[in-house]
Amino acid sequence: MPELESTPEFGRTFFVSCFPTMNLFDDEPQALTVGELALHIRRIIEVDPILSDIAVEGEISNFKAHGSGHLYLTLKDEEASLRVVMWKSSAGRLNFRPSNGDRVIATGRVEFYGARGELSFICDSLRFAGHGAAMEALERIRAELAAEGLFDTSRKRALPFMPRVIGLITSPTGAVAHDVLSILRRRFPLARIVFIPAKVQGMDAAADLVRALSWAAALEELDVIIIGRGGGSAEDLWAFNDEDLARAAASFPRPLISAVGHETDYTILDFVADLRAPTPSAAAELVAPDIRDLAATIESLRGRAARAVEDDVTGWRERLDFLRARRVLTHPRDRLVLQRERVGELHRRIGLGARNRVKIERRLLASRHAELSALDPRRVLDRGYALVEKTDGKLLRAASETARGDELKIILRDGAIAARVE
Amino acid sequence: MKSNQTEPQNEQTFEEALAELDGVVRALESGNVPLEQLLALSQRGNALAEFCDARLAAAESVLEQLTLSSDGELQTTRLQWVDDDDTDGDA
Repeated sequence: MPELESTPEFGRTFFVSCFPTMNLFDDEPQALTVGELALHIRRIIEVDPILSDIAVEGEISNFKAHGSGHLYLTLKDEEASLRVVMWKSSAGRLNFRPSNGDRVIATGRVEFYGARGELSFICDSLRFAGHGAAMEALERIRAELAAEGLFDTSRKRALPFMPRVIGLITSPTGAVAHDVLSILRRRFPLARIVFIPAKVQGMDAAADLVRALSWAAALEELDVIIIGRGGGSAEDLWAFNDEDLARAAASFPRPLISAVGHETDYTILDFVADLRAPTPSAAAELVAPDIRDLAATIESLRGRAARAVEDDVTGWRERLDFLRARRVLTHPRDRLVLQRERVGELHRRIGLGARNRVKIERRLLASRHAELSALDPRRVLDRGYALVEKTDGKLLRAASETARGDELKIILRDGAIAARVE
Repeated sequence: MKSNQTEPQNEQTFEEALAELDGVVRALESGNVPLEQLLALSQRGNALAEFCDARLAAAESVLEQLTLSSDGELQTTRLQWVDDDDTDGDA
C-alpha cells in the first residue's frame, strides 16, 4: 500500500485501499455521488471480518413477522438500537417464537442498504437469552393478578345481545375512534354510543385510561364498554399493561371489551377483560349484532310463523278428518248390531249351561239310587237266598237257635213257606 | 278484543319485541296452540315482526361524548355524525 503516505486522513486511507482503481489523488477532494459513498460504506463493512460474522445480544422490539416469511425486528439495549432482518430460510430454523421484550443473541452479519441508507443486521440464527427487564416486570404483574383470580374465566361476564348504550374509550385522534364509530353506526344503529376520549400512549396514558373508566362506571345506563387503541410497538401499547388499569377494568360494573393493537398483541388488559377483541374494528363487530342479520332473523321468524300457522291448521283439520272417518261415526249402527249379537250369544250360553246341569244331577241321582238298592235285603232274595223267621217274627241267624218241633217261616222271593224242624 | 293483545306496546323495546316474536313462533311451531288462539297468536306475531322492521328502518345511532363540566359534573354532549370520511367525534 504505497498510497498510504499520499494522504494522512484516516478515512481516505481506507478509501484508497478499497478503491485503488479510482483516480482520487488530486489535492482537491473530489465530490462523490451518494451512490458511490454508499458503495464505499458497503465495501468497508463487507471486508470487515468482525462485521461479517458476529453475535450480538439485545432485547427485541417492533417484532414483525411478515407474510413473506421474513422476520423484522429491532434489537436494542439502553444505549442503541439495531434493525434486524431474518430471512425466511433462517427464520424457518427458529426453535422458539420471538416476541417483543425477549432477550436474544443474534448471530449474523451487518449489511448496508444504500437505497434506504440503512444499516441492517442480517440474522442467521437467533437464540433465546431470557425475558427483558420490562417483560420481567410485566410477568410479575401478570402472575400477581392471575394469582388473585382476576383472569379467571368464571369472572367473565356475557355481553348483552343488544346493548342500548355502548361506551368507547380511546384516543380522540387517530383512525380507531373513527373506524369503531362508523362500524357501529353502520352495523347497529339501534345503539346510543358514548365516546370517552383518553390518552392511549405515553407516560400518563394509563392514569388517563383509569380516569376514563371511572367516568364510564358512573354512567348508569351504560350496557358495555370498549377500551382500546390501534396498533403500535410494544412500548406504544405499554399503558394497557398497567396494574391500576387492570384492577379498574376488573372492578368495572359492566362487561368490558379490550381492543388493543393487532391480533398478535396481548396486554394485561386483554386477560382481565370480559372479552378480548383482536382489533378495535373487531370489537365494534363483536359488541352488537349486525342490523342486516337482525332483519334476516325477523324475516325468517315471520316465515316460520306463517308456516307454523298453516301446519297447525292442517294438523287440526287432519285430526278432525281422521275422527270423522272413524266407523263409529260413519256406521253408528255397527255397534248396536254387535251388542245384539253378544246378548244373543250370552242367552244361548245360559240355556246350554242350565240343561247340562240338570243332566249331570240326574245322572248322579241314578247312581245313588243303584247304591241304595244294592243294600235292600229283598234284592238278595231275588238272587235265590232265603230268610228264616221264628214264630215270634225274629230272624233266625244260627242253627243252634232252633230245637226240634220249632215252627219256622221261610221267606223266598215270591212268598213264604211254613216249615217244622225235625 | 284483539286490539289490546295483538299490537305491541309502544314502550316495548326492539329486543323485547324480537324475543316475544321468537316465543310466538316457538309456540306456533309446538302445535299445541288451541285453534281458538291460533289466529290471535299469528296476528300478534305479524304485528311484532312489523314493529321490529319499522324499528330497524328508523334506527339511527346517537353519538354522545362524555365530558366533565366546569362544576365537576359528568355530562354527555350530543355529537353530530360526520357523513363519510374522517373526523370521529369532535365535530
